[in-house]
Amino acid sequence: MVRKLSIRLALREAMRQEMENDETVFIMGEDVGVYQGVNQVTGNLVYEFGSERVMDTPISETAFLGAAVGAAMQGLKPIVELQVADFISVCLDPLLNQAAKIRFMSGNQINVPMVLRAAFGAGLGAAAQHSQSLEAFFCHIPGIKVVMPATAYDAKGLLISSIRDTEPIVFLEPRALYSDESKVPIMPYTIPLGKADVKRKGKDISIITYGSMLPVCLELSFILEKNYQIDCEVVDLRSLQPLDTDAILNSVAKTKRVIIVHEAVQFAGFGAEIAAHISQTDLIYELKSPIRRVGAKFTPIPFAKHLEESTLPQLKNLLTEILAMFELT
Amino acid sequence: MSKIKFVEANGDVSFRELDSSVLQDFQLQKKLLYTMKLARAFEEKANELYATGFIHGTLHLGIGQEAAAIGSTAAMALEDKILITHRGHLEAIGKGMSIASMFSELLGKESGASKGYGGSMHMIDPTKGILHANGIVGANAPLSCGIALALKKQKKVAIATCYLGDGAMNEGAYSESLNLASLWKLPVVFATVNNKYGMSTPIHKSHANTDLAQRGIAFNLPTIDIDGNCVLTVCSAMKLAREFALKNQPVILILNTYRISGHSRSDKNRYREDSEILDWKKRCPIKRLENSLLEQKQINQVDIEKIDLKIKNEINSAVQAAQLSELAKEIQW
Repeated sequence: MVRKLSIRLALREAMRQEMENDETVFIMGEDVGVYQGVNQVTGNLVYEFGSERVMDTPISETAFLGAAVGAAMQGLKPIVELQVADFISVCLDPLLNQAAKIRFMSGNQINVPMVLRAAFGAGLGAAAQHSQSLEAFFCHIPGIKVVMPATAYDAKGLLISSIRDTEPIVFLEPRALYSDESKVPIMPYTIPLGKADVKRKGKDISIITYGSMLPVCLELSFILEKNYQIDCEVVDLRSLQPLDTDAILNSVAKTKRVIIVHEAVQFAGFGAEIAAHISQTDLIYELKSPIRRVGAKFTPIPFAKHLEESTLPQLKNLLTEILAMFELT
Repeated sequence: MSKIKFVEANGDVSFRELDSSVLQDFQLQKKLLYTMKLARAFEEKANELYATGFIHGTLHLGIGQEAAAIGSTAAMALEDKILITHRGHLEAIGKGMSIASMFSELLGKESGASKGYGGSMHMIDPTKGILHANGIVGANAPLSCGIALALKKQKKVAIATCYLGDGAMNEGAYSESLNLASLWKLPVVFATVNNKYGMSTPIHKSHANTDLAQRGIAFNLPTIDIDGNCVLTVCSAMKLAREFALKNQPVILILNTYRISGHSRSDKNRYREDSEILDWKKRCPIKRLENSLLEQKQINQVDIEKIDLKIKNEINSAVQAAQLSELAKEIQW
């Protein structure tokens, strides 16, 4: 059976089904219990599984993220919730120096099958310390995987795959899209990590994106087709590490034009990595227009709505960029 | 023989006698002597291999701290898990790790404990319950809470012991972990090896309160504060701590000792007087047990010579095996 679910409910369903399926899976984090999660993702799970498996923690991120790493080393499968990815600043060591390194330092003897779920992104007036997109930062750490779903269908399948994976995973959830709905099968299913998905087929330009910018890119494609007869292909990477470079290169080989869009600051953003992958192949000689990338301005996220909006990539800016690539401005 | 100072969570202090089973078990004591001597010989040999250019990188030796490491690990079961530090050779040997695989690791060989990916700071052997050897000060504490949480959830009759130094006590991770362990009633012992210095900084320049046994009071945790140079005291105290931890009462164990060796290869001993080091050399934990066994006529000089020769042979054959084995291969991660 397939029905419409929000990203929030799809994530909850993934956790519920995996907890039913595997008694070593448990949740820990701040206010994930009776409060039901600051983003209402864990919801009623505490009533279904009890406080032993949906564990409220003190506001002590180093302790509970570290404890999750330890529990994973000893054979459990913790799902840790960080309310927003920005809080990684106070608990980076358990991720960077512990989870990411233990399998390597132990000569492949000890795994850390842990999922760190964190909401990310701006648009909600949460200001500079609750709005960041830090994926490039996570991707620079060998030893962890970075997964970023943008639809409810992908959220469920990718979270189940992440929970079943043997490696530490940073699972970044687009905070502004928690209520977005799509069709989700009721049965558990997996989506392989490192497999991009073409969300819209097209022949004129490849829009490479992930996470919170996916709906913007799809809307943009609709406008470009309707008003300018430009047929966009939208590639949703879904996971950044591992990265589906084949999907990127195959799309660009077809369209010969590429723009990379993410919400994170453009400077030293993940878009640079994608651009480098394309430019290191012979495809660079076939491009009809230089590679473009669009991200947020290089500034902390402001509070005021109009200032926040102008900091983030806007549909109108993206439109201008793409039209320039077709010499239509 | 020193007593065991026990500081209740409410601050009340009492002194307990050593475990009679430890005091009367001379087989155990001979084993402790052997393991301490083996650990000392391992580090001396490692130091020599480094000095002669066979070992790449650095070494953090714990010469002088053998009783704290060997006495505590001797009170554990194989099923118990430990997390050791960058200065972890001694505890690793105490928990049963093979010195051949340790020498191989130091030499970057395929037969090394971590196949050349760990080195001196990361002597890990899950088959012996050595789950981590951490180069980040204080970082063992949160991990040990998680291992203890898992042991509790898995209903295992086993505990986690988190080794760290006095220096780690001033890391946020330490305080956060004491709180979590106490709050969640985790089967964990925080074995705090107080060797008086965090690298070069003495404890009175780094701890606002130098009475380390008072730290636990703030977290509603009992503390056992002992002479960490008396291996029999350490072994007795760890047995006690383990009993508490098995009942899901976390404990802080403070092992007061002294690092005779420098912090690492970079140490020029600019921060302490030679007389201080000399004074502690006289309090060598190995000699102390040896003398005690001699006085009680449990061993004689011939036995000691036999032990020393056996250790020499064990070390030499382990080094030889390590030197003969092939270089570690790159793993396709």
